[in-house]
Amino acid sequence: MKQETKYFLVLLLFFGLPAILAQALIVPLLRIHIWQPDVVLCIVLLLSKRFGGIRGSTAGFVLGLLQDALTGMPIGMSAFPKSLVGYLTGKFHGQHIKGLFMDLWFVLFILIHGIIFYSLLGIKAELNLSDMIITRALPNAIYTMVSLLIMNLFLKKYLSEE
Amino acid sequence: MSFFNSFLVRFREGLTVFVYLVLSFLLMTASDKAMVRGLRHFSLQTVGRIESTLSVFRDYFNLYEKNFELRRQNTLLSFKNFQLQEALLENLRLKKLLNIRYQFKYNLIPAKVIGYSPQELVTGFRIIANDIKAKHKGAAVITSEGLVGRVVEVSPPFAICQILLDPSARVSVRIQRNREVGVISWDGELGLKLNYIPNTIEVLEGDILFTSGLSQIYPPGIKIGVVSSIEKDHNEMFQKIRVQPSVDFNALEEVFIIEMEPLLDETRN
Repeated sequence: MKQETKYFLVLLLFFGLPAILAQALIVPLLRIHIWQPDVVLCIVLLLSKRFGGIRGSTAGFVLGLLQDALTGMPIGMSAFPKSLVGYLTGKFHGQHIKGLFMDLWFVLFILIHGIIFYSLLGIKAELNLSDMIITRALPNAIYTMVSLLIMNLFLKKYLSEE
Repeated sequence: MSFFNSFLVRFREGLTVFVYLVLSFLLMTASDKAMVRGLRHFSLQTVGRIESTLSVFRDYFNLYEKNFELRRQNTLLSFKNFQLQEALLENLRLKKLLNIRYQFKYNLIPAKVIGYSPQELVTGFRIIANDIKAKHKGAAVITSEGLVGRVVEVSPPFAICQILLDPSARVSVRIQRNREVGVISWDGELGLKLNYIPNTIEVLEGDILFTSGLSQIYPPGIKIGVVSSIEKDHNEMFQKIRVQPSVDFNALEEVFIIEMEPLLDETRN
């Protein structure tokens, strides 16, 4: 197994599983009104940025499945948007987009994740999609982006490409 | 063969994500298949064990406050019990007069909350109960304050409980004052809404809602919440009624799973 793949699996285990636990135990304490960040998505995006599209989508798929398995909803509902967003992030980062432009792309990817997730949930639970996007997906995307920037500060040394 | 290989190499990234997307979609449509159940079982056992270990530490630091609160509740409940005994005797006399044949006996299985949902919006929590079995899937979950939700997945001794604030949760309820029946669902924020109550029906702020007993899951008479606001639009058929849940979902520690058994009414015998 390649050294890079081993490193990816170690990071997936040591950051991914705690992120899921943190999403369940710590994130509810950070809730502002009805909005809260998705730290699992942050980890997927950071891993994708570091390891590229294939590993990014793998991280999204695995963590999404685990997240779904711990709730009562159909398995795959989080894995679907997370795999896609993981792939897109890796792909765009490979185009050498860096700095502020990459951060703006991140906001877009988080929003895409939210729209796909709420669309799938809307089908299951008969929710109004436009309401969900305005009241949930948009504020959550901003909150998740802020969390992503903060997490990036702490995890930078593990996820640096040098 | 070389064409196939070069195709795989060239579109490796695209194919990988395509496989993941197709797999996710297939898993979504196969929620009761053995593989999906196995995955849920594995995840629940792994994360459940980590969380139950962590909850031991959390509990240790809360023991004094919890003990004090339990003593206070015990005193309060003893007092209420005296009053309820009177009501019970009256109830038995009336049942005898009406010749009601059946009643339900409830067995309460204690469970402890060990973790909350790792998914924003899809709300619920993981519980641990020594006596929980696969047959308890779908059973109602309550506390002394009222209805919490129902068990949606079981992997003994762990289970996933879907609470009333989950977007897909629906409960048939009855308004205590006028006996009207409606359906409770999540209101999109932090409360509940009462659906399908026509504009012609009088509903007041402060009306108490109980489970109607019309579904197979929730037994009748469990408190759900109190009507907090009512909006009537004459262009619409139904009222917009908001309900404050009686249970504080953020402060749950112990819950009870209801096991129902029908039996002959003792009063008739």
